[in-house]
Amino acid sequence: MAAEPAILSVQGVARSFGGIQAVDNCTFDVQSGLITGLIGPNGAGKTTVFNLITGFLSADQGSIRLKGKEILGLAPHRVERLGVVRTFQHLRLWNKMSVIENVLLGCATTAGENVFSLFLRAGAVRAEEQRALDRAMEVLRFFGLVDRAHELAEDLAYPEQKLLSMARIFATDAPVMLLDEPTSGLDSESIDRIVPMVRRLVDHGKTVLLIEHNIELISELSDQVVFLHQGQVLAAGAPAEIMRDPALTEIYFGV
Amino acid sequence: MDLFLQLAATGLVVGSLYVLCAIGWGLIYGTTLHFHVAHGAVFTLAAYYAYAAQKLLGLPLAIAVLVAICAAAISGMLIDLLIYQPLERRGAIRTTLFIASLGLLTLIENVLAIIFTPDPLRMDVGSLGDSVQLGPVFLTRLHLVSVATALLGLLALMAFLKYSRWGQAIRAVSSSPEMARTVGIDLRRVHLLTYAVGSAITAPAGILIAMDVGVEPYRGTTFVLLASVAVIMGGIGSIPGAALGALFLALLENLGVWKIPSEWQSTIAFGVFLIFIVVRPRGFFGRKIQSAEI
Repeated sequence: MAAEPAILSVQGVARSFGGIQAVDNCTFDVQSGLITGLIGPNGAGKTTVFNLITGFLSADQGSIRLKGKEILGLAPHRVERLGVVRTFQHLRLWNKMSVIENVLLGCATTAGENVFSLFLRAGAVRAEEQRALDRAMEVLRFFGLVDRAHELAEDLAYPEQKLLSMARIFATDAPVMLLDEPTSGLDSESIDRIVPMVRRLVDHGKTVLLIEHNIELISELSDQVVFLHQGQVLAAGAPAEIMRDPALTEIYFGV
Repeated sequence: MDLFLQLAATGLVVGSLYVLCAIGWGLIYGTTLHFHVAHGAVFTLAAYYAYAAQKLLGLPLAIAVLVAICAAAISGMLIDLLIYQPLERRGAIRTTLFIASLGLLTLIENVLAIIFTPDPLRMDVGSLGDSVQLGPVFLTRLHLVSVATALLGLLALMAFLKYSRWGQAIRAVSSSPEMARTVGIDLRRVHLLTYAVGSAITAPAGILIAMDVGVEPYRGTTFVLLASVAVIMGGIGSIPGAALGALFLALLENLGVWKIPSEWQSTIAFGVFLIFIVVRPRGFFGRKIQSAEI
């Protein structure tokens, strides 16, 4: 595994808020085509790491490379274009927009991007819109939301909203997906619906970095686990190894 | 009763100008959360652009109006590009942007007063100034054009937001800026577009005033204040709400004159606004204000 260069490499990243060192000399790699679980007790800095990777926060020091290219300090939409997308723990759906619109906005188009081409190259824009629409339907089919396509996002049941939040970042074609607690707030039946979905993301060539509190789930899903505590990486490796380490379980469960 | 109908008709005409100003301002506020009072200056600039295009450049009326609308859209974009964006890049809070906007409004108004004098300047409108009688109500053709413009502007804006890809991007940014960025929407470009559209939709209101009673440098301040009241009454983020709020204010002001002396006009409007903000801060159809905050 180590022989292959990591698709995403976090090196010595630090970020403080006032006097609090939220992330401190944080270093880990995410391997392409695998599911990496980011775990740790509350306040360990997991979401801050997500914010740093995706450009929502700037770091005090360190480096984050995507396929060898520095992405730290780029604006979120630039990070997305280079290939990293994320979900939020609080879903932040576009509630008043339909399910398909939520996904369509993620579908990359270039012709419609430029305001002037809307007038000068209307034909090209329309063809591209149609392609985006087809793509959005395909994504909804993948996530089992196709028959809800024209409902408002706010009218979906919560588990479906969770799926939609994944669907619209899946639609961006970015290879690296950061999922912030995809199963939080769900009952076990809904979890059973989401978990195979995360697996299928990898089958479709995605790389997943996942924040998750459910330890059982992490062991089941992840190919590797990064254990974060007080903003530092305490351990990284196969889930079974991490779970066997009594020092880590003590930190995690506080026993 | 005739007086009531006349006042209602006048309210509708004034209301259509308020509507154009309010939906432009509301679009910008709902999307960028900039309390863009300099929108009042864009409104006034549009009127002077049209006046200058007709009187100084000698362009035909229709061309002068089109030129003025485009120039107003560019002015709105430049304000965002040259003032708000640099401030935001340096981490300015919203109050700072508001104060910068207020300063810009005052600056532009006073420069316009120096160049064009504070006196009203009226464009030539030809037969549009002819009066029309509808039952007991007297209006001019221009007044009917105002009402039609507001209606068309409102429908066009709503269709743009609903069906065009850029409109979707604006709604996405308005509803969740973080998520919009996550799927690769460039906030600054969407803001620029919003300023262009919001300014262009408000420009006709200023131009119609220049055609009707004449443009003065300081009228934009009143309009933008009323627009912000209408938007908050209608509910932030709702374009039909802003239009409804604007119409409501105009009718209230004008019908109020039926029984109350006319110097109380703005007191009525702002009095009702105070009641609104205390009793129903979300307006007619608004979203919670927090959800728009980053």
